[in-house]
Amino acid sequence: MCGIVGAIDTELSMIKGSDIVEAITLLRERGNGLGSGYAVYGIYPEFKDLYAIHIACDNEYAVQEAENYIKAHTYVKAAEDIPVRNVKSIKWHPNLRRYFVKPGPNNEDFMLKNMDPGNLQTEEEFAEIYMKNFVFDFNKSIKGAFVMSCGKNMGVFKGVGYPDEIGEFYMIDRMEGYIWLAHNRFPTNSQSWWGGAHPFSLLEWTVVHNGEITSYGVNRNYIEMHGYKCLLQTDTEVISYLFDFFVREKGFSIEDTCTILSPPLWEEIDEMEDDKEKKRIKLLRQFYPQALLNGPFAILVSNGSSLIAMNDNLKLRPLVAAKSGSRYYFSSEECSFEILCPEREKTWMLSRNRPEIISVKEIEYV
Amino acid sequence: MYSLYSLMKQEEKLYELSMEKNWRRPVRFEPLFDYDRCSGCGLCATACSWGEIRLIPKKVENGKIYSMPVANRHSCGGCHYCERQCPEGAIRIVERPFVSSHRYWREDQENLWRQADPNKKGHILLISNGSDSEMITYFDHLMFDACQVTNPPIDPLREPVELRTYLGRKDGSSPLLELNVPIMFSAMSFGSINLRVQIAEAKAASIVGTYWNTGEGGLHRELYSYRENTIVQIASGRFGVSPKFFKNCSAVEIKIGQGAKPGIGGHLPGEKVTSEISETRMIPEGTDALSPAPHHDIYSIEDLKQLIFAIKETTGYEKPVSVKVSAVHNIAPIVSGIARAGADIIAIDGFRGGTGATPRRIRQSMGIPIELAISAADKRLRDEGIRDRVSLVAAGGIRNSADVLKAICLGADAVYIGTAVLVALGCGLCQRCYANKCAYGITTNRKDLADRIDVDLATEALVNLLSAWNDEIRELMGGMGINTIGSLVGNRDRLRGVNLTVEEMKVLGVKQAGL
Repeated sequence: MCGIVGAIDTELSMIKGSDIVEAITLLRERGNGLGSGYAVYGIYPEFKDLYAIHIACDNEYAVQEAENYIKAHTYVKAAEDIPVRNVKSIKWHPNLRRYFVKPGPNNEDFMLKNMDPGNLQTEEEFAEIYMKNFVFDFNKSIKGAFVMSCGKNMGVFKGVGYPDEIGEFYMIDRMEGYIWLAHNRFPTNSQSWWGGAHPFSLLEWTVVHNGEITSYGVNRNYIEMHGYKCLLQTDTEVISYLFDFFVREKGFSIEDTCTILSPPLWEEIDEMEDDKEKKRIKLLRQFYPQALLNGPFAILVSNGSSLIAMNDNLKLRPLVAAKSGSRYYFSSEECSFEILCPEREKTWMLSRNRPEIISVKEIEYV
Repeated sequence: MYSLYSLMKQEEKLYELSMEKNWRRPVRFEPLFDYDRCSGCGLCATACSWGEIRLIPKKVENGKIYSMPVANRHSCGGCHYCERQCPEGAIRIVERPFVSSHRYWREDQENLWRQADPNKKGHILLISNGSDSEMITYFDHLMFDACQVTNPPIDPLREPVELRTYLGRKDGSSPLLELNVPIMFSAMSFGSINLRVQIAEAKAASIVGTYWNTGEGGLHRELYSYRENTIVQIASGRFGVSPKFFKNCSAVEIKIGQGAKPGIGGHLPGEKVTSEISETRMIPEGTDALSPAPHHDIYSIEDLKQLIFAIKETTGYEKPVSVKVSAVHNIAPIVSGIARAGADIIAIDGFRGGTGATPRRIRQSMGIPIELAISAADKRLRDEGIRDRVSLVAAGGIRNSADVLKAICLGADAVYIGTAVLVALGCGLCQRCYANKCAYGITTNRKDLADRIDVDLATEALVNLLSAWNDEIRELMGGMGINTIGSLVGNRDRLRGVNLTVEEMKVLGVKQAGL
């Protein structure tokens, strides 16, 4: 049992962090103080072309090692400690740093040199693959340090504590963003550590998850077969990798990806009347059974231009949505909306395998 | 009541036996008769196709001779057919303990006596079915995970739990096989079993929505109508391979080897080649049907690739091609090679896989357990990033629905069952299928015996078997909180090992229970 909250403004106007903290704090009952976190898009407008790497290091030694590693593999334009407040109940916290980088070791021309001339990759595609591999190598080779997030113009702020404590700690109330994801954790399968808190992130993809993935073994096998590495000891990370794999690497639409992850039941497919739709869903289900997510879950996923809300195909976890003007809100419980949007046009419960995909205008989806 | 004449005939037979060279055959099984219950109906004497039971005049009442059955004590194999037929329940099959003062030689002593029997030419000891060796069965050391508190178990009576499986290469190059249950009937040829059993298999497969496999003996014309549920098999003998054979199937399987006899061919003796079999296999009546050990056009992997594509060209890329190999030490690279050679499905047959006839030494000492083989193959294919190119089918030693699910968790997409099918039809596992005398009428082509199979009843039995296993698998999956079988293929996280060594768990890819 966990609590999740998400918000998106399709007109890209900024949503206040303080509202989000209050909304997720309202779901305190759904967590046990062993992890919570926030993901926010649109917080680094001044660095919006650079990858913002948030790292957490257990000790000074790990900080040094991580810094050397980042400097060796990327071109660092700016670096600083993530500003934090002292919070009484957070007795220990790792060293938190953020770097704004370009891919390639200290060399602005690196990209052009290393791009495969025979390949039809664009510079951006190459950069994303480079950064993805960078994150996996970093998590694997630096002991006591892990990457919290590494997307452009976004950041993940997470840790061990109740959501109000973590919000206070990272000064979330001072932040603004056009997409927010927040999570309040009640860990059951893995031990609580700073890296195990949600949201999980890879490149632009960020996931918060309430539930348990019983098919984790299969999903991990599948995604590891395609070059991803699961190192964070939690089932949720495969969701972000699966989205990254299907949407970025394979070029599937978000809708197709959602169908792969949570498809309708076979009997429903058999009874479909629209032949084209039937064929599409049937093929996706036949071809990618290993990517299907089983078990109870409600997830919110974002890539900076869309917010995706999805349930398992038996609807075993709660997820409600609300619309107010250009803003859409999602939460585990309807009470959050009393803070986020007391005057709303519409409130509805998500039905199983009907994912809601809300995209922002203007930013063209890559 | 039997006439004196028939009794005399039986005595004659016994006399012939007594003329054999004096040799002490080991007696292991024998029927014991309870004469208080026996009504002397003589059913057991006709039921026993092995000539173990004869009737002798035992009772004289009112001037009439009443005959009673006695055991000959030379040919009982413990198939229990007479015991199950006796209307009075007067027969009990007993196994005599083999008492040998030398424990080390105990089993072999018996076999040596058999092998040295002067009444026969010294011969390779033949045996049927899969290995019965007491080697560890890994299935019994694996336990499933269940949902408690943190996620809800699913009640299959209320929520959908889906077993539908698709087999084949998942890139659109050839059609996929659709299975409603991840269980198929394994290859058993017309010849090794009779047509009635094959018809029952085909009917049951079409009712349930799965596939049955013809085995290497070709496809009898009566089975053409079940083409939607038929996998035809091509083995080294190439029996019955014809345009009609390719047209009337859903998939083609190339048999390289089978678990009970890896690396050796097959031999159907000429006396079993009846006119029907000769027509189906396309060989002259009464000649031996020999399958060579290797395919004489496959001496390496590139030859297999050519055969796979020859079949695909022949069938217009409309039928998936499967390759069946036995589980051997080097199974992982072999499977990887077959996947790269273009196979859509790879079936791996473990050392407990059954057969109609195999040398005892080969059956008992060649090959490896399916649990280890399927796990190693799945891991290798994943490491090489080609696991989604092929489907894996596990065969050999699947005894119940839990075995099916364990094999799937270890990496199989579906399983083949063979021996379980025969047992469902009555088989007493006496391991003498090669003798053409099966009392249950399963592994024989003698008309009088084959007639003992009622096709409709047998079909019903197989449909029941599959639907019962289907329900059991759904219960197990519900307990694990998983509602579609695809989420279990290779899901070793949901298995734990008990009483296994570290190395064994490493190969199986499972953790020690408690971790």
